[in-house]
Amino acid sequence: VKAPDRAALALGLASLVSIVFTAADGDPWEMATMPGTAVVIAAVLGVVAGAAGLLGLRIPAMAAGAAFLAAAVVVPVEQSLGEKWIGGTGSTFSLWLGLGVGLLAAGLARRDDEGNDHGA
Amino acid sequence: VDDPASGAGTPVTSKAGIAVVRVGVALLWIQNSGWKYPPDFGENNNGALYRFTRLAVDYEVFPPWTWFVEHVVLKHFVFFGWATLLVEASLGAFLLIGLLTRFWALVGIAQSLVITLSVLYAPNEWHWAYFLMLLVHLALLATAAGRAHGLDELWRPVWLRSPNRFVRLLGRLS
Repeated sequence: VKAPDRAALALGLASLVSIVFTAADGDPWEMATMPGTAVVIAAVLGVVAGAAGLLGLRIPAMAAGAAFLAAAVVVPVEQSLGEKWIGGTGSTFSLWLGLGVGLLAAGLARRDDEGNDHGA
Repeated sequence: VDDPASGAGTPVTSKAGIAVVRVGVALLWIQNSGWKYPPDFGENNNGALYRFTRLAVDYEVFPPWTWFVEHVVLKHFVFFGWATLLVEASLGAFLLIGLLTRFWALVGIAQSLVITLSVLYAPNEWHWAYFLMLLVHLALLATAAGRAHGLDELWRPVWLRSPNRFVRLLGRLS
């Protein structure tokens, strides 16, 4: 598995691991707010990113990254409007911002036959 | 040393340790982004971020900073609330993935300094918490922690090879 694909796989796994925070209740262990809708988003996008990494598919990895970024932006917007479409907080926003940017950066990194992994 | 992450001690264990510290510090910012609530950030009920920001005025640490908080920050609080949320959420995001890590370590030092100057003398605060925040970001900067299992490892060589000065600067910030 090439380095950019390993990165996508790791970020997908990180998304799946973040689901455990739904069982935490406040400090000190609830690192990110993960209500029900957020769990579904993290599970679906985590599986897509992880599978993309395993199979070496850059487009699904980037699509998952873009979806994470879109979901991240929804969180502060819904908070500002008093809505609870996802029900996240700034911690959800921060986590998904990282996963989104990370998956896009991994997807954009070029893979070549020499095994040198580098950016586009 | 061109690659501090691999130059310190035993490369494999050092890199793993540096990555654990980086992700741990990212979680610090991620978790603490969770109580910066838009749209008013606590201004209307003297809660959350607004209450903590007021501590800089109520328990002065550094007079010029207190003046700035009282006359600029609190008077334009929603703007500074959004700025705080975006900076701290970005710190969590970019340190988590290890991208442009030296830049974000510098931002982390600056933000830790801001927090220290605001709450250091407030009741029930442990001063070493803020000193440690400053020191751990200094450690991330000194070790270029994104090059240890972070995305900087992937992109830094590309940035440094670029003929574009701005892109090469990204390499120096990674």
